[in-house]
Amino acid sequence: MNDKFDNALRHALTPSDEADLWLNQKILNQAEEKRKMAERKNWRLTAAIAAGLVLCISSVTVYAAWKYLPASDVAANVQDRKLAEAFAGEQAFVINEVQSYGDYRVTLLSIISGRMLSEYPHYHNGEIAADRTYVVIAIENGNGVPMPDTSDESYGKLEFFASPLIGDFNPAFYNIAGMSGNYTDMTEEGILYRLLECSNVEIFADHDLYLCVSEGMFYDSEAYCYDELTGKISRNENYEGMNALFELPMDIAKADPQKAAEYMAGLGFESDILREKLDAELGEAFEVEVTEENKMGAEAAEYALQFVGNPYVWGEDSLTEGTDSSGFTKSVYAHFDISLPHSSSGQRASGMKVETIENAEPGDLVFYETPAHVAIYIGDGLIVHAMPEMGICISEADFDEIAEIRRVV
Amino acid sequence: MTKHELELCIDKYGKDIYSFCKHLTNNPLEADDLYQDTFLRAVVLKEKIEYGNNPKSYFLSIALRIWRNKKRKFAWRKRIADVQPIVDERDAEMGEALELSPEERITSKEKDMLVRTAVSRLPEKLKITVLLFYMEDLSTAQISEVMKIPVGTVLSRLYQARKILKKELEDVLSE
Repeated sequence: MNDKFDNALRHALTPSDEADLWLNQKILNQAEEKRKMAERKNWRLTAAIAAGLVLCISSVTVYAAWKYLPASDVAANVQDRKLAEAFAGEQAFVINEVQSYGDYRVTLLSIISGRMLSEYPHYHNGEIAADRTYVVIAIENGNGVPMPDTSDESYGKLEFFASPLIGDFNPAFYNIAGMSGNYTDMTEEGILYRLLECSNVEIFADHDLYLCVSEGMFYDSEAYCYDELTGKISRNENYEGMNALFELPMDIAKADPQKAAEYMAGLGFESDILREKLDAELGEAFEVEVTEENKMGAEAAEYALQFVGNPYVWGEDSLTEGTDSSGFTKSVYAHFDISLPHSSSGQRASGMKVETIENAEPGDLVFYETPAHVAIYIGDGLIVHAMPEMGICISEADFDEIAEIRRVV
Repeated sequence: MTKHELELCIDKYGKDIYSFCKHLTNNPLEADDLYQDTFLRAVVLKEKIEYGNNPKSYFLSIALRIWRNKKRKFAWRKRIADVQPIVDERDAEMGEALELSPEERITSKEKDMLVRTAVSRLPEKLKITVLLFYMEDLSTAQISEVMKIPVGTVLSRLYQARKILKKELEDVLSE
């Protein structure tokens, strides 16, 4: 039986997919270019080492700015010559401020804002987002151990979150992840450089502007404090890890309150989601309503509720260890022997359509778009779902525009 | 790596690597990207490819590393969006249609598809181990190198994966 089983697996998994000819051709062509680029990079590296050596002899200052590549070199290193020139120009603020917290030393090198500064325009919803802010920071190990190269396995284990924050706006919601942000990392001489970019924050120059750098992939509400009353953001002094917070210099003349308000109102998906509806609580009297027709759905809703509080993990489907939204619905229904595909689009094709939320019964799947998301209706206008940053939680069904409702039982 | 060496490698291992990419990503577009990035990364990495050893393991470990990094970054950017695998429609339809009527006799081709679908549904860690073992024919020692985990962990993952697959495929493979 074992041999037969193994053979069946081997047979089914025999490599049978081949890349298109054009793809292989493309790889060969690009390999040539890569090689040329790599040669240039090596040359740059040697020049940098040489420069470092000369300076080492004449100075013993540890935190001196010469230790770091200037922002323009970082931009040049990621092949963005236009941005490199911009960083070398007068428009850029050179800061070179150092902060050491936790295991790391972070240096804010430079910041620049403006239109069309980069060779690589950022696309947002299919349109070029021309007006951007670029920041370069350097991160080092406090104990002097070199940071891993970005091609090293161990780089994959390092996670830093660096983002501009805006006073008067809760950083948990308003940070780089929502501001069409992006970043590129590179390592040189054991120092990790991050070039981060997002929508131009100069329009907020009449607010306090900060740059936070902490560990982890997302904004960490433990690391920073936000005072709802004054709108000030500060470091949590009791936090043990790294929680650097720099103040960003801004030209107050560039403030544009009207544009800022428009920007905040149109902040992509962030604005569509009604945060106050995300965190709902069940009243003491709440019970999943059971009728003859929806017995199974009600059971599914009841079953789903016991996992509230468990974490959200993208791409997974464990009700206890972490799941994404469609993994959650899939696993809940799997418990009732109903098999749903893991993709939310696939799930949307399952079962039958329910016209409106008023007709929804507990157990129905509620779908949302941009971002694709799925939840389980539990009655009373409430849903239970796996939500990034919140984990498995209960929310009001209309926290975002409902795209479709399906009954799968 | 010279252009000629790259050509040889693509020729020799292209199919193995591409199949791995396709099953790992569950998405033909991602598979193309990963396949391309894997070879291009190999070009710029300094390590000389030892032909005496197993260059296939080397490519597979690069592919795996790139994919993990990409998933991580992707999760960051699309923080809220659930990006979903596009399962090969042929496989998916076939898989679902057949699940409805397990009693019916199924052909060897359909059996293969059911197996592939079951493998694609494994948790990622188990899936990777299964792909490296059954698809890429790596030894458990080689898998331990590629995945950077102890051999014991490889064995236990294979054991777990086989247990799940056996259960899922009981009806299919019992004929």
